[in-house]
Amino acid sequence: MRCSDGWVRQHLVEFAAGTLDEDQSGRVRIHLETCGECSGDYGIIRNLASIEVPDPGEDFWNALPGRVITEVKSAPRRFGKSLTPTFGPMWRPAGWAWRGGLAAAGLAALLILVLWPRGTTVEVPLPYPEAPFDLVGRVVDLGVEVEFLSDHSNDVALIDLSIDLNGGVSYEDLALFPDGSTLDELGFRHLDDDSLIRLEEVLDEMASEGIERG
Amino acid sequence: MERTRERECERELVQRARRGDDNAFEDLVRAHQKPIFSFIYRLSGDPEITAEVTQMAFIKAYSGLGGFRGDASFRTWLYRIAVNTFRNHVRDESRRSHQEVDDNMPSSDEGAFEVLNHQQERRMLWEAVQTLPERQREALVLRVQEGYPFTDVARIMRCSVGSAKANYHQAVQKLKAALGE
Repeated sequence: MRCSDGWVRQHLVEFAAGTLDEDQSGRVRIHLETCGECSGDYGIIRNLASIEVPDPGEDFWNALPGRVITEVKSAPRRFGKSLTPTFGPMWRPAGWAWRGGLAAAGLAALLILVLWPRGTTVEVPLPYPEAPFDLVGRVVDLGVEVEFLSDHSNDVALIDLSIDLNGGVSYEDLALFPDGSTLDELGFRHLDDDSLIRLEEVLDEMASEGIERG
Repeated sequence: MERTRERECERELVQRARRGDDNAFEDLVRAHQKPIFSFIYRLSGDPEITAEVTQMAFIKAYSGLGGFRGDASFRTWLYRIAVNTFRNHVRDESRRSHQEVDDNMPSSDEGAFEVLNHQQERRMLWEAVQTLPERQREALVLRVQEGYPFTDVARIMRCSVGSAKANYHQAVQKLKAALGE
């Protein structure tokens, strides 16, 4: 039988946590006696809430804050695997299917919009010594990392987008930007929340088109 | 009152950290490391992965501090980073889609023979949680174990409130089915 008391269903978590007032708790208690659906939900919630988390110990807690700072200071580029780009066949425009190229151009255009000036500048170390491409910009925000690399040829930038979005995807792509696009316009902008959501939508669209990430 | 003062204090720490005061950032880590660790553990079910992802999340928070605008609380912002960092990890380690539940299943001090069934039920539940799709698990953990209202769950997961609710309810239904309820 379907539950008819939506309020109770929405507040089972608070009931389990003991944060409802007396009247509200009474209402939930009475409801649970007669509603099989909610009592099933409540059983799950109560059991989940009681699962304990192992304590890694005081040494771990004491060391973590310092380790974070040390890690940042000593290895500024090691914020994620996507910060170590791979320079393989994917880097060669000749290997691109026309459809992928079009999609990348579309993505590039959207990124120009997304990355348009807002907020702070992010400086990056230049260049990657092991490659003929220079890292010309990187944006890090909310666990998302976007890199821009260029070969600086003929005012046309070859841009690599290593987008660590929604889970470690190193999205490696090339995009040809039209003459006149400046790297400053592209590489040193800060992503705000709305931009990230839009970027996510762009990537979802690309995924729905069957274009693989990474 | 106490809460307001805590928020003020935290805001000040964030501002100091943004100006490059590492001690302030260390204080922020200290204040949030345990909840973030617990949260990631409930998503991952693995203490070692949890330790690694927790550290990475704070590193990302440090490097992204300039982007924190204070629209959401610092805690909510951190949870968002933790979710993203955990997703990154899962994607990187694609093997983890059906991670085995290890022997680190939280133990109980209850001890009494009569609670054995309860413990078994919890173990089964824990195993079932680990096999939930990523988004459903996130919604479930954020709502039930972290106690966030759906508006915050949605904010942290970067989705609509409706989507957060749907993921949560699907998770609960799957768990009920897994436990034969």
